[in-house]
Amino acid sequence: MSNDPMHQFHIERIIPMDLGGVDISFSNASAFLLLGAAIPAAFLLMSSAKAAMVPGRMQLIGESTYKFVYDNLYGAAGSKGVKMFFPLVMTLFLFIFTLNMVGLFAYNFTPTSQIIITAAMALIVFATVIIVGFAKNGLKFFKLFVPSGVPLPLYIIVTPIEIISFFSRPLSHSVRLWANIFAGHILVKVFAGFVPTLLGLGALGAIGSVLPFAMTVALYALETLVAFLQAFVFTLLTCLYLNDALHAGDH
Amino acid sequence: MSHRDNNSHHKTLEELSRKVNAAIKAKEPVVKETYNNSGMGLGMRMASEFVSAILVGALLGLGLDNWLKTTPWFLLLGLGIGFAAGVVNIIRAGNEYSKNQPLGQDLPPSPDDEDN
Repeated sequence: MSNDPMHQFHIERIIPMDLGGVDISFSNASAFLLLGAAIPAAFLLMSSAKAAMVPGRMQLIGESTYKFVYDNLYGAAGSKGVKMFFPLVMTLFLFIFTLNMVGLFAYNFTPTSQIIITAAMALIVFATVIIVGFAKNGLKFFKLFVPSGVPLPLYIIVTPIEIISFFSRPLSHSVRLWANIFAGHILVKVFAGFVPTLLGLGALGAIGSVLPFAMTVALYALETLVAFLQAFVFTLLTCLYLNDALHAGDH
Repeated sequence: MSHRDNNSHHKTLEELSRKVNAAIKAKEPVVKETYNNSGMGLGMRMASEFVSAILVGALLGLGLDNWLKTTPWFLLLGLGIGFAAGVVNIIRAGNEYSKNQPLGQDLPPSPDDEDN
């Protein structure tokens, strides 16, 4: 097996395809993205198959997941937000969480370690905020850039700051998820790579290799937490941004 | 006799409910901690909020410069405003964080609070 920590991020074409000069090959990334859609779908179908009054184990897990996302969205955007955005937010959370968790297993590819994928998701949220913001508030959506209660001359400074702050959202939104997953995977791989290297150095190396091995185990536990936490943070910020879209006029 | 029995029943029940409440209370902050208190997550969030605002400011400035052929003035302006926007982002994120976090739970009780 390769000792190169970047090897895990290589995209390999499984079924090469070409559409008018654009490479649309079915790659390992596509395969794991499909998996990321299929596992939550199967999970929700299984957990809601019986729909019993007294939930079984699967149904309980499904309902707690639902409640978890619902509470977060409700806390950030209220009942109006839940009515409009719950499907989007639930999909994002389950999708990202599944991709992160599946990527933790050996030989698997992690699509969230590719910035193009996190950027696409962040841009979906950004576009939703803009479209819903204009649909709900009309031109009052621009009040987001012109907060009330500021002395008139200060708007020369405040408005550009607010505009940049607004446009920096999709960037920080996508970079945060990508950087966490990317850095974590490299770190695990680097420490794991020390183990065979040290083992090749004879008896003293073999004893020493216990240390990076212990570090790898500890990092894996941390990465499991990060996999959940980043999915959660992404969803939470999505909720906060969507709340702005609904209430831009009241600022 | 039966009256007394009833009373002791009440007492044990009350004690039980007190114990249950105490157990629930003892558990609660631990559950929350896994979501909100990860220092690394918070640090990452602050860093990316700050850096992304500067990047966007610089990019907008570069774009304006390319368009209006005024290199490097809008880039400088964009960097400055981007820095300010980054600070605003961090203040907002911090406010959100402390809104979800009851004040001073993680601190030892301070003997003298000057700004009360």
